[in-house]
This record gives sequence, C-alpha cells and structure tokens, in this order.
Amino acid sequence: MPRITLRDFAEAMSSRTKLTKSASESTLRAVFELIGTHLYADNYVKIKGLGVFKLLTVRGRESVSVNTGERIEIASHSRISFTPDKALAERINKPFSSFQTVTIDDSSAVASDGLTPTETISEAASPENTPFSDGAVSLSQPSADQSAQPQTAPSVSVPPSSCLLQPAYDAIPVSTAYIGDDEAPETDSADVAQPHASAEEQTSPDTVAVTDQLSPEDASEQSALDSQEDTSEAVSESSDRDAGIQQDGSCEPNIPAPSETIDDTSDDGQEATLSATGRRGWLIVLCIVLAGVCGYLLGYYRVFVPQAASSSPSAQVQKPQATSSPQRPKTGNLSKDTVKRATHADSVRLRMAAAQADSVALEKRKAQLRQESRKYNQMPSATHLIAGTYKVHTMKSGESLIRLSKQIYGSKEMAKYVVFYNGLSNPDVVPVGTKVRFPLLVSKQ
Amino acid sequence: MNNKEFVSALAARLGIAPKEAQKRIDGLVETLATQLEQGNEVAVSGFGTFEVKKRNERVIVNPASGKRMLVPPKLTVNFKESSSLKTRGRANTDND
Repeated sequence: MPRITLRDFAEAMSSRTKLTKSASESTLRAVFELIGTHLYADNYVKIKGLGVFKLLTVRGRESVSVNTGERIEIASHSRISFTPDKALAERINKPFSSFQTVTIDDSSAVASDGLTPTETISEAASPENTPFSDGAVSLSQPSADQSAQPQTAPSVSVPPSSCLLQPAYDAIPVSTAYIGDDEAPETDSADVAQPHASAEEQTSPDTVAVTDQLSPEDASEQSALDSQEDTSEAVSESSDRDAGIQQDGSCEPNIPAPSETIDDTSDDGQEATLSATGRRGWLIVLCIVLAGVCGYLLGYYRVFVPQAASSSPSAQVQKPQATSSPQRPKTGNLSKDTVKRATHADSVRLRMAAAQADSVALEKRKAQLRQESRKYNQMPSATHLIAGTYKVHTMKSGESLIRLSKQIYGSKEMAKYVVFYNGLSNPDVVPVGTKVRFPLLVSKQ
Repeated sequence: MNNKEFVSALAARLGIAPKEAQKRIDGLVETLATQLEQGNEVAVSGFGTFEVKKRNERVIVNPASGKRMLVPPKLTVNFKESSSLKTRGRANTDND
C-alpha cells in the first residue's frame, strides 16, 4: 500500500492535466484547504466525481482509560465522514464488480466450488444429478421465492448476466402443465429441470428416475403423458427448445411453448398455469391500484384542508371528511363572510409566538440561575454550571447515578456534576440509603 | 455547500475562471482515482488520507425475508482525517 504524498500527487496530476507542477500543487492545496474550511462552516461539502464530506458530531461517552483503567469521559466531538461518489466507488470496486449478493441455501452442506456456467449446464443435463445433491450457494432471484437451484448454482463469481436464473420461469408452467401437479412450484421446479432434460433423452430409466421423485399418482400421469404420441412429441419439441435455451445461453422464457403444445393436458394443468403466473400479475395490479387510490385520497385531504375559503370542490371534498361543511351553505354568501375565521397560517403564527414567549421566559430563568451559580464551587472545564440543589434523593438498591441523572437531567453526561457536587469518592458504589443531592444545572452560554 | 459553490469558491481562491476550476477539480479527481485504482494511498498533509480498503465477505440476514445471505467482498474508498484537521475543527465549533 504505497503512500503517495502531496508532491507526488501533484506530479501525477500535472502529467495528466497538462498543468504546470506548481499550478497543480496550488490547486491541490487550495482544494483541500477549502474543503476543510467550508466543512466546518457548513457541515457538508460535495464535490462532483469525488464524493460528499460531511461533518458529524459524535456523542460524548463514558469509557475506560487504556492506561490507567479508570473511568474517563470521552467528550462529544465531531468527525468527518466521506461517502465516495457512485462512479468513483464503482471504479475502485471493478476487480470485484462481478460478484453479487447471494442467498445461502442452508439445506445443503457442500459449498459450491467455482463451477463455470458451461460446466453446470452439462451437469444439469446429465440424469445422475439429483436436485438435492450439491450446490450450497444459489443466486438470489427476486421473482421466485424458492432459493434452491442447486445444479445450476455456480460459485459467487458468476457474471450477473448468466441465464441460469431463468429455469425458474421455464420450470413453473412446465411442471404444472406436464405433471398436472398443484403443489407449490417452488419445491418442484428444481425437479422439473430434471424431467425436462431427461425427457429429451426419452429413455425409460430416466423417466423412472424422475418419477421416483414425484408422488405415485403423478408418476402414472407422467407415464400416461409420455405414452401419448402427440404429447411425447410436444415434450421433445419443447424440451429441445429448452435444451436449446440452456445451451445457447439466451434467456427467452419458455412460457408460451408448453401451453400451446400441450392441448390435451387436463384442465388442471392450464388452470394451474394461469394461477401461477396470472395470480402474481393480478396481485401486482391490485397493489398499484390500491396505492393509486390511497395517494389520491391523501392528496385531496392535504390540498383541500378545511378553510373559510370558498370553492365548490373543497366544499364537496369536505363532505366525506366530515368537517364543518354542514354549517356552510353550498351556494352564495361565501364571499361576504365577514367573520374572521382562523386559518392555518394563523394557527402557525400563534404556535410560533407561543414558542417564542416560552424561549424568552426560559432565557430569563437561565440568566437567573447563572447569577446564582456564582455562589457555588464549579467543576473545572465543564459545560454546565451548578446553581444550587435541585433535589435530594435517597439511594435505593439497584439504582445508579448514571441512570438517575438520565432520569432527572435527560443525559448521562450530567452524572459527573452530581459526583462533584456531592464529593463522592467512588461514584460506582454509592451505598443504599445515601442521600445524594442532585444539583440544579444551567448551561454556560 | 454543493458542487457549484465549491467550484466558485475555488475559482475565487485561485483567481481563475469557474470553468477552469471545474476542469482542475476533474483532473484532480481523475488522478486520485487512478492512484487509488493502483492501490496507493493518497495522503494530503493537514487534511487526511484516501485509501482503498477491502471489506471481506460476510453473512447477513435479510430482515425482510429472514434469509441468510452472503455479501461478496468489495473494495471501498476510505478517508481518514488527519489529527490537525480534527483539532482545527474543534477550535472552530462552538457546541455547548
């Protein structure tokens, strides 16, 4: 990790930008100085292409000194956070860019070992592979819920454009169409890539192996299908297509093929096809419609807040909202309304005035306390002043000064004042029954 | 302050046109990126260091689905401020 100093950097910069070395050096210095100054002035500096520098405050916390082991307090301070620009981050991450987050399939114990896509395709085609053998890591698919595509699961370093994810789409309609199985496609889709590929070979051992995995009644259906001439042709046709897909690496989903070739499958098959994909579509449409309706209602409510202002749309809208519409006539006399009703702006003004009045009173009290505090010993280098006793509290079993100060002052940091005010030698151990005096604290400014 | 303000501030500081300042910033960023790509740390004294850190892959639990997922390793740009910048900051801020 060689270190590049400012000078080397300026050199590199000048060779790249064709500026003189001194120009690039002065630019560098200026840029970073400016970032520093503006960051402290404004808490936020953004440089296009580089990123965002933010100034964050870190809360003070109690901790233990590394050297002495006694309790110390780390004061609250600020730190600079840097978030790189997206382009920059991607550029830096290029060596690792082909990785993706994957779902871990806990059911299998063997971790995948860096199989390349071509290897896995041929493996999938071979009948020996059962879906439950290997492949721990499978690529997460946002569409299907199922996460088990073991024989097509390469290691983490598969390029994202791999088409091995597609079998989920191919699999679902086919499984229902062929096998007429109403079970959740998730469990069977893994199986289905198998009967698919094995069907193309059309050898009885394969189908037997496949049917072993299915329920007995399905097995009879399967063999019934296979025995029919048209369907077997259809099977080979669509499976060829599928095989073609697998070999090409193209990702066209195979959904239309099974439904059009298999006319003589039972109604179950077709219904199941519809329910599997159609149901999902319906759900999405429903969600969009609901969102639209909610947004529309919210919009109306927001925009047409009940007011004295007259307008027929608002009068109409106020009806469902059950506001003061019964009082207001629908026609006429609205412009001549002479009573000054409170508007939203007025209420805001009132609230702000109240807040101001409060803060004025608060400041007065604070100034009073600061005067008072002169009579008392103060903690050196503290943010708050002690101005008398606020409360005397008898310690009960299980109480701690820190928790009490959080209750009373709202902050754990104030505990130190309590300790100082009471002259406690060991703040961690305050015996039950001790009368602890909690001081009245006021901030210094 | 956003990019525009920064550029104009830089231009004012250096006595150059804002366009020229933007060009220089781009050049700076480009050089920085190249250096980082090569794996070098770039240290600006009085400000901080830019370095490339590798984050190892880790197992997380997707809170929505409850599934365990494996996040792949990646390289990130990290900035570490220098202590002089920190102290300069503390002197400037007036937190109570």
